[in-house]
Amino acid sequence: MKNRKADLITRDDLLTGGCALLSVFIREPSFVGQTKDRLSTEEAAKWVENAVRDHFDTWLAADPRSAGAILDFLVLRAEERLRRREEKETQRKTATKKLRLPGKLTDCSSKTREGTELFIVEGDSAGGSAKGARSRETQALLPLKGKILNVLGAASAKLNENSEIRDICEALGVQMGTRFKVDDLRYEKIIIMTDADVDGAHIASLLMTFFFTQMRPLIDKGHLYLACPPLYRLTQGARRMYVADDAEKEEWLAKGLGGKGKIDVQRFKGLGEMDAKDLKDTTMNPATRKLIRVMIDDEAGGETNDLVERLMGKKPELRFQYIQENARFVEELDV
Amino acid sequence: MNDLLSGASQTYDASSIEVLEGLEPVRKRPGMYIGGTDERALHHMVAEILDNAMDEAVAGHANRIELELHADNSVTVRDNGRGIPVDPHPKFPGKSALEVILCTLHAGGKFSNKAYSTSGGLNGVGSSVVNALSDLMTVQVALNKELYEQSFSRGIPKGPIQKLGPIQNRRGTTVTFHPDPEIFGHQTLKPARLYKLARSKAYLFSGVEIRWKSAVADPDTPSEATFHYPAGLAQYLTETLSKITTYAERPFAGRVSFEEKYQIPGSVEWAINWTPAQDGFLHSYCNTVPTPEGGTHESGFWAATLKGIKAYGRG
Repeated sequence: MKNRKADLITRDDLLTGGCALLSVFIREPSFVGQTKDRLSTEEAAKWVENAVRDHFDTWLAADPRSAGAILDFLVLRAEERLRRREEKETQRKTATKKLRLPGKLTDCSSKTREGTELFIVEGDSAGGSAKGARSRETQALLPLKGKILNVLGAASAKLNENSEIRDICEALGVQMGTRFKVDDLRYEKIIIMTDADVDGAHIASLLMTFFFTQMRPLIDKGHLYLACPPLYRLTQGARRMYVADDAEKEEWLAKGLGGKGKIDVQRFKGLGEMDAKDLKDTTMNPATRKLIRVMIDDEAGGETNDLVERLMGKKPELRFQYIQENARFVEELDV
Repeated sequence: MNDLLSGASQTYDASSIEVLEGLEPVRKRPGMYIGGTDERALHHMVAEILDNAMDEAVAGHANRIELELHADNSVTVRDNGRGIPVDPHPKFPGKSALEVILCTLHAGGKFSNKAYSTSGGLNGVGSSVVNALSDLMTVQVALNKELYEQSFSRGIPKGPIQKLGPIQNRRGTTVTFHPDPEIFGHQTLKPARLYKLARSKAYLFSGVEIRWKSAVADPDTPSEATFHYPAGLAQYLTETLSKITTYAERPFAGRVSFEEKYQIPGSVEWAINWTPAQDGFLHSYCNTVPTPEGGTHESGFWAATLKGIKAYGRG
């Protein structure tokens, strides 16, 4: 018995401090996931496991010194994790007593974080249809009133006072800035769901600026998403469908939906105009919706910072300069 | 012979229409084929062409690839593989196989499925899509001691394939393309991103040497480099971790051919070391394409290491 505590080690412990590269070559691989880059070829798990396992045993046996050091390190990590969990559990007991959730939050019923989602929606009216469209168990809603504060222009005292921002923090169960801990998040996915118009885009960018500056790890760890509500509803006789943009609309108008009569085009001015079923099918149901994951380009991390400062910051001259420099790139403005 | 002729003339009309229709949807809705028109999609164009060259290397037909970023935002990818076939395609007389490959989307269902399943920045959409989204693409093929060339604009040939004359000591395919500003606006290819792409392909396949060259100034990226990792992932991991303490002097690394072990095509290669100095990571790939969300190969890998270390601990 080299270390009786080896059984405590979990997969997560292996990853703390484990730096690994893995490359497989297989024929006709299949992929799944929100961004379609998770390998789902089932047999690959067994192929890789069996191939690696024998080699690992040999390697460990051949170099007892390294193997012993790794084993002790991993056991230490496992113990540390268990201790942290214990601490957290006691904390949580006291915390839940004090836990104040904002009144506007419609929480989900799931007791664990896994699989839960918080939709931050624009306006109470959208919140209404979203309430009917959500899955009670896993999807929570937080309607926001109008536009939130632009955090780049605001002092931190103002941040703490702002009720919309306080609601977001309380709903997420986190604090801002350096006190933000990604483990505290009460939901697995934070989904910004705004109307498919200019105002919606502005609100989404204000929210993203907020998360970027105050809760950066939330983005880095891939918790932040944008919902993609449709812009138009096309109806022809009994046929009905939703399209995301003008290009797609034109395409269907040219092609026809296969129904009778002329095609009726409805442009959604807001999410509130959709009924719950439509909103569910197009935007909220995980099986049929599309989400965009918000990410920061690794290689251009500094650039992102700079750009956020220029576009959302306090100095209008920087913004003006950027617009001047880039205006020629923009061919279509939706004003 | 008669059969062949009549059969050919029958398909001629249909095929010419198909080529026109063929790439139009790509330009109309690029998002469906390369996942958007943003910077990621733009770089995906290069990855796509590079992956074709890598396929030649992985199949054992090429051992050198060059990736060059030019000052005008165009890119050249050159390999010393077999060269895209240039002889007339049996189904489309009057067209070279090269033209058919570059101007036709691949077969229906499988293609669209493939395009979808990999559109988030993965490959598999074919060079025809890159061709459709480039305002200029020139392909040179050195094959059987002859040099051939054909140019395209937005997926349409600018003329038939040309024989440029005899050539010695060279074979392979050279693709130069310029992403169409009509599609990608004024976004430019980033040297840092392409540099990393080239390097990753080299450590993912030890049999290939990749030469990188860039005419676009970037203080953090060398303008020329040669990547060759004969010891593959293990070598790259050792280099990456060279400045920090690790628990094992040399990483646990290996390569297993599925042919030998399970009599199926494929292989797995891995390298891992543990360090107290930083958080861990697992970069995984399938067919040299990154899989940032992990998947079954990662599960298998962790299962093996976890069971292994536990068994070792139990002694």
